[in-house]
Amino acid sequence: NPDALGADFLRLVNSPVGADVRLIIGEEKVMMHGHALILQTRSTYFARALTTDWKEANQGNIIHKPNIRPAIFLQILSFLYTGRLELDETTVMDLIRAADELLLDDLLFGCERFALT
Amino acid sequence: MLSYEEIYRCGYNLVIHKWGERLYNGVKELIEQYLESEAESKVVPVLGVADTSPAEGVQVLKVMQKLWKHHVTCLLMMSDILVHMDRNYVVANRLPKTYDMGLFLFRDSVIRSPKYPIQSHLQMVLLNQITMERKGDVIDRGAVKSCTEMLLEMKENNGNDPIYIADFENLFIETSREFYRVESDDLVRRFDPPEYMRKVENRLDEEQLRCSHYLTEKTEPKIRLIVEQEMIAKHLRTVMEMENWGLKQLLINSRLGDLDRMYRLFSRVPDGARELQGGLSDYIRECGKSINANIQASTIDTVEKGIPLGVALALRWVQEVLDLKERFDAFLAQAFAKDKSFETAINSAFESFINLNPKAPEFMSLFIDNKLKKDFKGKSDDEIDTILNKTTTLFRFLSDKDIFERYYKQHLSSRLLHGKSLSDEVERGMISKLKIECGYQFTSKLEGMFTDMRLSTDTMGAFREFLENAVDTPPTELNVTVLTSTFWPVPSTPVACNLPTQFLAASKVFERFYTSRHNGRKLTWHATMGNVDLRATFNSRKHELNVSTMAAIVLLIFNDIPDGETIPYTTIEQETGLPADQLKRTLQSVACGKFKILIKEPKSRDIDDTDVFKFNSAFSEKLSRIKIQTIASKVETSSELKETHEKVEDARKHMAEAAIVRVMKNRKTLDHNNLITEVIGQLQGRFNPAPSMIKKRIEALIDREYLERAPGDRAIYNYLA
Repeated sequence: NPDALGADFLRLVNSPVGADVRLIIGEEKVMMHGHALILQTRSTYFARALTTDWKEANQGNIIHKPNIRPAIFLQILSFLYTGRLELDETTVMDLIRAADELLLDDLLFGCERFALT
Repeated sequence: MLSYEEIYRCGYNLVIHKWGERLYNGVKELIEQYLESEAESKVVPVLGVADTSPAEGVQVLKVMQKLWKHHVTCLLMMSDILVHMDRNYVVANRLPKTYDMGLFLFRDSVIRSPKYPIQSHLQMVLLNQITMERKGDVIDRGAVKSCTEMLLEMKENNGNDPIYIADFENLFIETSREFYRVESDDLVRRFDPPEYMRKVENRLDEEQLRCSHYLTEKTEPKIRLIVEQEMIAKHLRTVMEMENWGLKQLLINSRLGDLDRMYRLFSRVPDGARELQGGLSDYIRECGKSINANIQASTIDTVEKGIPLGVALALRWVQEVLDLKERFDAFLAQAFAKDKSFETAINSAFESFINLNPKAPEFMSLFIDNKLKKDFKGKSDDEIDTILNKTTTLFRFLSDKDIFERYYKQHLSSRLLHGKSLSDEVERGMISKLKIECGYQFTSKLEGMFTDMRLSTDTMGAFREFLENAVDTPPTELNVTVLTSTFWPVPSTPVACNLPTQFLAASKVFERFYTSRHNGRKLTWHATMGNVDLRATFNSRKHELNVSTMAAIVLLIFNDIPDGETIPYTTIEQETGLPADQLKRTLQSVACGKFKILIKEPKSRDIDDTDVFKFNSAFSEKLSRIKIQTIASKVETSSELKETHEKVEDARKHMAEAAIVRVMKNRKTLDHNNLITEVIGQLQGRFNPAPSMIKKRIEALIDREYLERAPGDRAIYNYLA
């Protein structure tokens, strides 16, 4: 049952359980929890940011993302953890912008298709 | 420490705000400037070291290596940051991605710097290191390896070929060619072939290891080709024909290891295997020539007792050919990897010299004859089989198999009729080997001879039963072998002789018995082919003599005259009616051999028309039963040889005509060339027919109206049913 996998992983989104990455999101600096293993596996952006060459990894896995709104980022996280996302017209443009920046091609194409229909 | 997110976001923002071009070119310019200043400050200062000392040149490699490593690390980080640019602006404008652009910059600003002679120094240092290692120095392989890896990493503008090829490999190959050209000229002069070949082999191994250790596998076939061309291909003949330990001496001394090395090395280059095969053939032919020269009578010193000189020569010839063949079988298996093309070359060399000896078919048959009569005594089945197999291999080389058949039939017939064969089973074994080689037709008559022998035993049993109830028993015991005339090599008319009356009487009884059982069969008596047991009374005692029928006829004449009286040769000739040459041989066996039953005057080894003979009543010998040998199978005299060849020629004409008719009957119409080809194909197993001979046969068949020339085209024949 592939749906069960997504449902279980959804519970990990922004969960402090086992979290080893802190994400400081938006101008309001909302703190979210992340799991390095999942983020690195699902996204080349996070994989690069979390290598030892950079400040993020060297100072306790803290990643600032001031130019994305917390609500949008939470959706991004859900997508990364579960591979699924419910889209709606109010957020789709912001999601497209974020997906482009974070090199999430899958999500980007999905959003673009939704926006066109 | 830099934040990935911040720098990435900057790059991202520039690209989405259409500043991609400025970002890309800015990065490019920055890297270029940095590389140029690094080259100037770090690489250029060590270049001079390479000029002054080849060994210290490795420093250039080390500095280069450090700069390269750092550059690659930086490029990877820049690529990580500029992923968004690489995926959007770069792709849209078909530019090299950041990482590749950075490699091109290193290539053009450092390696191929137009300002500094870095490229030439790098090449010089790399080539010097390799030359040093070839000369036996230990070098820093790691430093060389990291440099070649660097050159492999950077590509030409097509993005495909590594600059390793243009900036290193081409030069490497050219300098290596020069190195090995000089080295091989020097080594081939200083060392004998075995040592030279070992050195070549080492060089090949070294170059292979060099490629796998610090160049690349892709260079391996190229450098191998250079070593092969310079060290092997250019010196094939020199190495092979060298006086001291060239091919000939390796063969003479059976240096299997060196021969094997020569085979493996020569086989690497075009023509190498062919040259070596040529050398082997020349040597075999040379050996064959001296073996063939050895059949002159003067060349034999010791003749085994009881073997005529001619036979001894034949036996030695075959044995020498067999020995040579055995040596080459060993070479083939242990030095030439059982290579089929070498086997063919060796075989054809044997074939050519064997067939240069016109007596080869006779010699081979005599050899087998001797084995089956004497040599196989006390040998195991395996030993016998090995010898027969080897002889069969030689037989395969004979082109005149039909002539061999003729001799074999003669020798077999003498073995069977005189009971001289050691084993029926071995005889049949040999025939089955010939059958495998040449087919049923070849051996059917030989097998027929065995059948006759068996049937004759049965016939004699029946004859003895017949005699028990017969009224007129013959005055002497009689043993008859009935031969089918077409199977046996018997003359069409028997040798003339006057049989004593008691012999004649006995033969009449048998004739009556035989024709009563086999109505319509015609018996022809070949009395002179048989032998007789005589009881003879001498002064001291009685002896039983086993002699040829001819000798018996001669001896019985002496029964009719008083003891001590002599009979002149001419009288004996008249009374016996034997032809002179047969009679002389017979007299030799009873008067000049080991057992002198007759005394010849004057005493000598040869029989003369003026000689006289008398019975040797003083003859004395320990054994009571004495076997007097007739002159054994021998090499033919020249007149016999001529006769044999005429018979063979006749037989060949028949075989050729039969083959032509077979082909034409099948094809009905065929052109001249195809007919010749097919006929040759059919006859090859027996002898090698000349096309001119076949042409004559075709004409003869046209004359006899078996064939006609097609109207309008003389080159086409029609079959006339």
